[in-house]
Amino acid sequence: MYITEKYLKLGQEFHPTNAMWEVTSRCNAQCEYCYLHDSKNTSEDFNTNQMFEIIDKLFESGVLFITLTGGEPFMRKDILSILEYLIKKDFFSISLFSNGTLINANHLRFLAAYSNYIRNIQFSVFSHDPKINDAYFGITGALENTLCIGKQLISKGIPVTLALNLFNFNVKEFKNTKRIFTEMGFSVRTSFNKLCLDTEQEERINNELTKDFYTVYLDGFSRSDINKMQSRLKEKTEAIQRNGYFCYGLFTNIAIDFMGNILPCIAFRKLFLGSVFELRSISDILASSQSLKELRSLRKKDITNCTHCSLINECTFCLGMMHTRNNNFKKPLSQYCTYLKTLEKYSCSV
Amino acid sequence: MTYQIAKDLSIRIIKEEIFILKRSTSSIHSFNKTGTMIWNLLQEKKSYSEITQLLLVKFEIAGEIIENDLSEFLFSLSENQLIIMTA
Repeated sequence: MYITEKYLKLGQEFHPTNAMWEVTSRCNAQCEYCYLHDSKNTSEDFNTNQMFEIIDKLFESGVLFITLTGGEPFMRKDILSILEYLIKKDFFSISLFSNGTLINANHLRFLAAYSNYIRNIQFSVFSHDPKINDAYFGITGALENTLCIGKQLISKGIPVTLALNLFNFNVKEFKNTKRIFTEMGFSVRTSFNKLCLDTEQEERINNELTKDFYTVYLDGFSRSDINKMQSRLKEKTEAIQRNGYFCYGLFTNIAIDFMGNILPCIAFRKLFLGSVFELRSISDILASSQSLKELRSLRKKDITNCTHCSLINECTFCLGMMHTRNNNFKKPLSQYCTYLKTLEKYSCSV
Repeated sequence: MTYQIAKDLSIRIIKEEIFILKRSTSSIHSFNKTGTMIWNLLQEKKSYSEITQLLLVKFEIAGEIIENDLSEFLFSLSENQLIIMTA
């Protein structure tokens, strides 16, 4: 049996091997589309001992790979104590999502010393142009600092990915941005999906992620790249049909939000399976969750608004994003529909 | 032949499934039930002949098959640097 099949089997038995953990909701940046925008800096962090308790719980449930996110993890004064505890417990790997602006020399020394425990550090960026990047973050010097820290981490053997989230203000230049960062030695990941918590946010995002936006995005690719994108989408949906479930992550992953709620994954902002501070183990919480059982048994035919869509076989919408916006699984976010329709028209016309 | 477990390994057992991470190469390994049994015997510092004997008793199949399979498994562990074989 391949290892990934073993992870799936463990997940089916309620032992997730991957966990994403919001260690804080606090952040020093002002990113407009952050899904924690309204909760940011409003709640007190758990203390260090509570954090160790969460780590123990995750370890006992079988988690091998953990990603720390936020908010901004380096806002926590005890972040190195948390990392040290994770290392002492011997998790297979630790990944970090950060904006990179608060990492200091002390953090760098620690991360370098334990580089064989750090799988990857991902920094959010919005442009290769410091003016544009820093304006979005609301932090002067953000890009310069992040790139400097990133290069130092790479020199110590720690892989660094720059996550470039696309908007109208940066989509035209994204290929150039990606090239510039790649030449510096970074891996670059681009994405445009944005989590919507409510109607107002969805409206703003839909005004951003229009057909024109996607057209500009697709203009950055060659014909063969476009073909590859479509093939990948088809492969993914065929895999969903073969496997009978929507997403492998529904079995292998969990997330813990900054309030200690257990979520199926970080995109499910409103679907709580339980609390990490319950007396029961995480595995017991997952095993007894009717919501999780229903989620795992969902099929495409259950998404009632999509069954007659001609693009259903190419659509790989995220259930988490859908539920966070609608509190149900009846229809996807229109940002997916707009993207697929644009991709289809684009590939026919090129 | 003696076998030593490599030092830079992280080992987790979750619901009787063993997962071994070799930190220096970031490779992750897992075995079937028999492989796990042999691994546990190696951790107990059992020799090749002791392991062979125990497998013979457990599986009741020809000694030659056991020896071939065991040698192949140990070779694979050594190739992946999970154990160090010394004469």
